[in-house]
Amino acid sequence: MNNYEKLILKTMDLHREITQAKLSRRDLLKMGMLSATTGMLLPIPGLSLRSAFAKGGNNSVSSSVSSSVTPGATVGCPVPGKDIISPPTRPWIEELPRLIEKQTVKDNDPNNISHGNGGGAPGPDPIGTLGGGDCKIHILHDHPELATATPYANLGHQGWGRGGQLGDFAPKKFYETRVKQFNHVWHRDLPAGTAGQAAWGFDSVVPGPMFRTRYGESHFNRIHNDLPEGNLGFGINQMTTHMHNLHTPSESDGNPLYPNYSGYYYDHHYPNVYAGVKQYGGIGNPDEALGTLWYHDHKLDFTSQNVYAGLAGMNSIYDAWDAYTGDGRYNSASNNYGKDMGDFGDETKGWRLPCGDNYEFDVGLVFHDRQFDPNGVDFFPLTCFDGAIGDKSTVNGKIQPFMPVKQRKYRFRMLNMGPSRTYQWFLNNGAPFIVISNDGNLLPAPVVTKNFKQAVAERFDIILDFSQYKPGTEIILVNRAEQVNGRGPTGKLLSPGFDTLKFIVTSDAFGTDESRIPAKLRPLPDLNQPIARSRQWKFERAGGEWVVNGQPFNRDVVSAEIPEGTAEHWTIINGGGSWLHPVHIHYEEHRYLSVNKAPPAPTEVGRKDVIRLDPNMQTEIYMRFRDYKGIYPMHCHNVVHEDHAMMVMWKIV
Amino acid sequence: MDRRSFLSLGLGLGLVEMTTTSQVQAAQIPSQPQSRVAQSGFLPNVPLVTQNGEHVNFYDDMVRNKTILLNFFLITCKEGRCPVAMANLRKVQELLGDRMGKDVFFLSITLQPELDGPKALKDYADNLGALPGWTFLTGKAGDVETLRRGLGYVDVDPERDRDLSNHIGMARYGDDRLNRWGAVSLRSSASNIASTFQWLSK
Ligand SMILES: [Cu+2]
Repeated sequence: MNNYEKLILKTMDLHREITQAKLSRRDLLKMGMLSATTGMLLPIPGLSLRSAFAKGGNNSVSSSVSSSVTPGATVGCPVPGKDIISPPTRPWIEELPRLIEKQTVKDNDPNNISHGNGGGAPGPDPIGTLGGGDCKIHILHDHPELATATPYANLGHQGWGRGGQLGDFAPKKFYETRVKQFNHVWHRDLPAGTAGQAAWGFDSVVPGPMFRTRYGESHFNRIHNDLPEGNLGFGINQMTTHMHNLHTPSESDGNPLYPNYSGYYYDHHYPNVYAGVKQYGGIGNPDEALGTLWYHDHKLDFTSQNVYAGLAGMNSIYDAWDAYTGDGRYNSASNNYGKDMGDFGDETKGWRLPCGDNYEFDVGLVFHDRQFDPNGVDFFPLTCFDGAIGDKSTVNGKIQPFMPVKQRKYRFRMLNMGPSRTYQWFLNNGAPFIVISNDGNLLPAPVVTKNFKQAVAERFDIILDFSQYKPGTEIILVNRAEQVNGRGPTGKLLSPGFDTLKFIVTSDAFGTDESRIPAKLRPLPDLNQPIARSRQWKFERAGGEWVVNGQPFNRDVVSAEIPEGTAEHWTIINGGGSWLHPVHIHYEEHRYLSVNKAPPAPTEVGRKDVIRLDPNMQTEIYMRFRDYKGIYPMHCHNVVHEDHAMMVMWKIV
Repeated sequence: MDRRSFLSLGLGLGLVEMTTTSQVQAAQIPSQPQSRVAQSGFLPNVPLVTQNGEHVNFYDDMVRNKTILLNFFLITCKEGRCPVAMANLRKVQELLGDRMGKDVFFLSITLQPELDGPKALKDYADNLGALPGWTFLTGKAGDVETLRRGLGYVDVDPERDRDLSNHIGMARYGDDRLNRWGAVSLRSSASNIASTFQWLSK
């Protein structure tokens, strides 16, 4: 064992002792055991943890503020740290959990998918009866008007069993997911301890499992809603799962209007084709590839509550170049995407992005802002129209976790799961991030930056190279954006900021790091298709309501009918009032023509699906609507705004 | 102490379930997940007066064990959004048919309690054609304000918050038995509002 390993062991021992002694960050700072600048533990010989323990109690960073508030206080929108304060939790006690790798059903055999009440085996059309089975049948029963919402009157799958120009992408991979209530431990220091408290999750984990899917390999997911009947508290036991932002036919997109009830399932079919199937043939144009997706509940009026309860997860989609198995020469005309894709993890091929065996170095990081009441019970402000802001930052379901890392390059897929906070990320040692992808889509070239903003639902893929650090080095990911309510960051950069995730460099073996940071990545598709029409969408607060073009959401209204295969120019405007709205448009990605009349920032030149609409911002975007038909929403992804009517439906006809 | 006593102390809905949670600590690993709890300052139990002059406590008498829709309004708001909202609600009560007053109740609370007394509310309700099950509420200014703040019908900008013509026009709807609460715009349409009650309690 070398000295660094000894140091790490010693630090870990200290972590353990501190856990047992229930010392807080503040106690540690007072005792000189923690560096205030780096957050690093400083082992001090001869220190009596027992005496420190005797001090007990008052051990939160924010504990100088009175904690006498009753749960929920007397205001509808409690300000974290003022009107409501979570119990103290010590940082860097919980280890970052890796997202669970989703597996297909046994033997990838569709016969092993359970049928549920009166359902049937997977098929291109809805299966079952009104008494059970496929929930599309229930939807049509409750809402017969939806039968005409797609060209396929019974909500059958547009990309499966239809043929013609759209092809027939019968699923090659079969998944089954059960959504349940279970007990989750956000942090062992919370009063619920290691028993945890109720949360909702896909496959009973928060966040849900990581799907790894591939272009040219259509997949099927039967999602069973096993949430409790008659649930009490925030959330509703009805759900509809949106895959943000795959090229998904509308019937599988997870539309807010297509929820299912507890006890039933919903069948999602994902053709896993690039946009432009009709235009390019085959599986479309590889320049339109996506990479980092996430899925989440989208139930009308209840999205914020259900996602907050835990209903979200990630899905990474790969192709030959972004699966590290291609020949390394990107040529979108060569049509060799899906071919010869062996096992993932070969860092000597394709763009050679960090991956490793079993995706060890291709890591999903889900950032979820949370609030607990003074008794440590999960809190959601059901009475707030503005947003839900918390005083605890979690990563992959844990408050302020640490992650041991090896001395090599990692690809981190960062997701802001919301509900309402916008982050501005820094590394505490001043090192830069290498941003390779925004909203899941690889940029034409990596961008090196020392900080970046990330609004709700935005994804950033970054590469961090730990080979330059000695074992024992600790590096902290810090959010420095001050935000006190749902309005958005105040603009003030906090110093110090919120320590969110700590990387601890180890000397553990990893073989050879064959990965590279390529100078060029996926090229951007051209914008040559003529614009058929311009539209303007204004997001604002009007008369105390969240509205788009002056109108609150109305399920009976389709705000735009857009012919399939056309391109449009949309103007997206923030109507003012100093609110930030992360606007998400389902289906195809947009490209910025301008942001506040200027060219987009280097990290925003690519294809995006979330517009971080800062106060008073105006953006011009280029949109295409290819291949599938049906209704899709556009909405604010501050999900509290979304649930308070900041959404419109549009339809590809 | 039962739930009612907690509420009369103004302690909010979450506390009863909180007791359950502290029991979690004692039991090491619960055999079943604990039920989800609702916590917030939701639904203060303030004393109010109806359009018929009845004295009620907001939570105990108007909300407890019911499916409700609530909004804030003022009689003098005669232009723009207010009349649209109230006219939509009038249609919704008809769309709800038998459910109105049995299974679903509307609560409209005035933001001008000094002006909108019970008699004025009664005239307003009659004029509007409010059916049984739709209650109009007024009270002491302080109590109405407590209710408004507790329900989050507040603009973060204090100046805008004082402007009654700009008050929040959305309705909260929900099922108290399930602690299940959402919001819907009263400006959208009667059928849009009515459809929320179609699936709320499934
Ligand atoms: Cu918004």
